[in-house]
Amino acid sequence: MTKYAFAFDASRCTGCKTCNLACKDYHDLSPQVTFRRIYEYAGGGFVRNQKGALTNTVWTNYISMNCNHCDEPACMEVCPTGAMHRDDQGFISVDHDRCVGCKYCEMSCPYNVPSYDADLGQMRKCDGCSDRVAAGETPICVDACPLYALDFGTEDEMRKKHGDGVWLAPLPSPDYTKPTTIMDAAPNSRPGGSHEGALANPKEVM
Amino acid sequence: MLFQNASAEIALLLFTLLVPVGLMALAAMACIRGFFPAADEAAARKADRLTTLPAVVMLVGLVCSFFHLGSAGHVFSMLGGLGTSPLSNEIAVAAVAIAVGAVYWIICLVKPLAAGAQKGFGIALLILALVCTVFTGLAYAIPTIPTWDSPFSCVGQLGLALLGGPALAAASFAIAGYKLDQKAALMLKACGAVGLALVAIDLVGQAGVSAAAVSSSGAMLGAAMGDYTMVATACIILCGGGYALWACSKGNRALVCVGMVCLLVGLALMRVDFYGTFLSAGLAYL
Repeated sequence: MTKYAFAFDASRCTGCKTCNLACKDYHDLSPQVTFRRIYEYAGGGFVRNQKGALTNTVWTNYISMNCNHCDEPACMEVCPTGAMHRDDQGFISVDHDRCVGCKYCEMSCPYNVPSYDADLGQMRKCDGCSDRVAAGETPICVDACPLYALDFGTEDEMRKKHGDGVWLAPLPSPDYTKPTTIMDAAPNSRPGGSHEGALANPKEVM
Repeated sequence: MLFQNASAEIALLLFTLLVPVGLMALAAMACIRGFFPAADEAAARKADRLTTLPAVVMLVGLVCSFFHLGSAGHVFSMLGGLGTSPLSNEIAVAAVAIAVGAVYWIICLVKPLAAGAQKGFGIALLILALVCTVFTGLAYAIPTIPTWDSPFSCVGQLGLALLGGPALAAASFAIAGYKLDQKAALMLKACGAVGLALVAIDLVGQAGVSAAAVSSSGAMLGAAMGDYTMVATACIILCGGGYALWACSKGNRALVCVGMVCLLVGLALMRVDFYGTFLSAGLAYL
């Protein structure tokens, strides 16, 4: 099985959400279901300089994240039916002939990835556009990104191109599930574990 | 946030409350009928028929669990993760325990059981109820949910079963007019006291674990901890008051029943507090 990986370059991402919309359009997702979330992490404020004038130290950066197709996926470990499985392309995906819609995977994923589709009565999540990849194409989100912040290929290709990546705030520790997405930092990015900023758009990602 | 989280899991809240309480009550009734057989045959038969009360509680809990599922038609696939998925393990144990409980109940309705058979069912149900309760707690001890990944997930469940089960059994016997042997009554109350202590330990421990799991989102959980404390206080008052009514009832049917209802409401609030503190590793970090 070929091992694939996504790469994300935060220095190129403007938080435009084209990736999110392209995915929703391609997979015909309802408003309640999303496969890709764009985290806006921001901080800073206003300070008075020596002359008494106000200046701002506001900073922000974005992280566009789909499923990380982790090496130790919590969703697969807890799934009672085996619906959450690794497919032939190596992506974690949902077997809709087995999924019972218990939402246990949604509870356990530290990246809040699986979404409950009320119309289907089952969980849905990013499957890496497995069908497109099998046909030799790239996932729709990667194709759609206007700033080339997203990349995709075999894990070896991605590591040669992007290195081993870094852990970025506000994401949880990669030690939990060993995510495979390779992330590059932006100038305003804070390292993982930093509490300097706050999530500016919680209702969009939770 | 606390009430929002808890209300989203109301079906699971009822399952994790009613099934352990119903199972433990059936176990208690079988043990008492077996180890402390009554001289009054008529009251004994009535008590056997009153196993319907804990059985219904148990089965209502089971039905509630189905409402949590989006595709209940695939329910038999839920044993696919046996051995690996904590939820599969819980379901397997619960299925066996509920089946044995239901068999015991049906037999009790149909014909009087000999003391030996009552003892056998009592011991089997007691073991199954305890195992089912522990596995229910373990289903929530997931490493990526730091607020739940602690021994208190099991401590709370055990407290709930050991307090609610004997109280429900005592109420069932009281409604049947079955006079409990003094030793039997004392054992039920002692069990209940242990359960009450575990409930109190769980409420304090869960608060500590929840607060510690939060880093930069302290403000978010800080607001929820105010709600947690209010609900926990109500839980302790209802459980403590309910236990006191039961313990001092001297077999008075009304007092035992009111005490049992207070207990169940208090234990439901304990589960509200538990579900309310859900915070995954990602959210906790934020």
